Amino acid sequence: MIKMKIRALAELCHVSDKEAFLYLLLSAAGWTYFVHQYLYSTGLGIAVPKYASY
Amino acid sequence: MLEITTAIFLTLLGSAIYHLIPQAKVRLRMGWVAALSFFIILAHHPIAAFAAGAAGIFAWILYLLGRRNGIWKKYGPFSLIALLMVFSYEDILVATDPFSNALVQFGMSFYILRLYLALRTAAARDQRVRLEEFFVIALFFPIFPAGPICAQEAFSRSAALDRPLLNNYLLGLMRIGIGIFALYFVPTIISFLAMPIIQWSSVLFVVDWAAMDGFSAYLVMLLLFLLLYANFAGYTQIAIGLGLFFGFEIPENFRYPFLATNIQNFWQRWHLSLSKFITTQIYLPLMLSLRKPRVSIFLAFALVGMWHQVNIQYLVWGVGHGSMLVAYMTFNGSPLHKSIVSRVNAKLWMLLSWLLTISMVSFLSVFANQPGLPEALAFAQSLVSGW
Repeated sequence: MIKMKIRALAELCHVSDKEAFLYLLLSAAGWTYFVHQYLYSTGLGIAVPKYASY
Repeated sequence: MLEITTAIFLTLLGSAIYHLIPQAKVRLRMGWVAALSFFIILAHHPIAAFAAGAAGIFAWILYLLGRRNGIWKKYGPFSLIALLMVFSYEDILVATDPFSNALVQFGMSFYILRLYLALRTAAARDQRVRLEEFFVIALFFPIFPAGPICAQEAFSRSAALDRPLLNNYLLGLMRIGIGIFALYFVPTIISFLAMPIIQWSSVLFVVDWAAMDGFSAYLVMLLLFLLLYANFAGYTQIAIGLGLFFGFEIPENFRYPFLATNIQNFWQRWHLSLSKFITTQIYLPLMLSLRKPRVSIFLAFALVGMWHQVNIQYLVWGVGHGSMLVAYMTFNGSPLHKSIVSRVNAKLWMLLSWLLTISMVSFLSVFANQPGLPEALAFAQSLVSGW
């Protein structure tokens, strides 16, 4: 099932299956970093240890 | 980070309104994209927005004149190059901070090239281009600061428009995620790696080269080039993603340039839209008139160096790339090349070629991006001293 989804993504992006998988990984990493930074910079991050370094 | 949040939010909102306009009303849709882009650039830099808008109108007038008169059609687009020179020389677009200033100046260079390409494409295909199309080509905000250099083909009816809307939005969000990784996360890793060697300055590429030995300078040079790639490629991914929200297919600009094993291969992987522009708009016309491929490629890259910025560093960049391509064209397939390849282990030869290519392109990029000639010379000096 996951393989088929990745193949469909690869076809949409005109890249190989491996590249499509890499795209997904990098994108997930990017959005995770974005959410972390956004919560941190706006002070909304309840779960983010904002003052942990003090 | 908050700037990208605003950009994504505005694009989501803008694209939602865009999709509410019926597909048949193409002019209204394009007009909306042009107006949205204009107001976003206006909020960032008012002079840039008006200058870009004026250049869009100017290009459209050139296009109309070209439809009536063959001489305007052939030579009219060159007047855009004159406009670019005015933007490059005059300080009318100087912003308060150096990064923003560089962003706007590069934006000017990019959109002038896009308009030039739009005029040439329209002339070659004898197609009708409307005013709002010129505005979208000039001002579409995700590609405004740094390309890719694309014209009508990115904004005309594409395969992306035929896909379900949700697919386009999901693909766009995926591309933006990759862009955020490259643009924000990779620099964090690079600065962590470089911390033992240098103290990072607030301005990119400002490094105290005099305090470094040759090996450290070499490592920092590679890291700075990687940083430039992450920055540029990340930005392009975000532009492609934001374009997909509207159903535009912004072309890819990079194809793993760090895997290039020679300079020709590097230009098949790095800044693909500029590479295509150089080939079709500068190299081939020069080649047709001069009939000398080596001279043509050398001149084309020298000109592109000056297009980036009018200074000695970028002239060195252009001449350097041109010389490397000429050297490669001469050496590749020559008896000397064949003799070396037959004697040396293939993998070792590939490794050496890769190392030489990456080192040379990194050197030229870091040299060109130094804030001034003294800093560029200090960088070159630090590379050859104290190994």
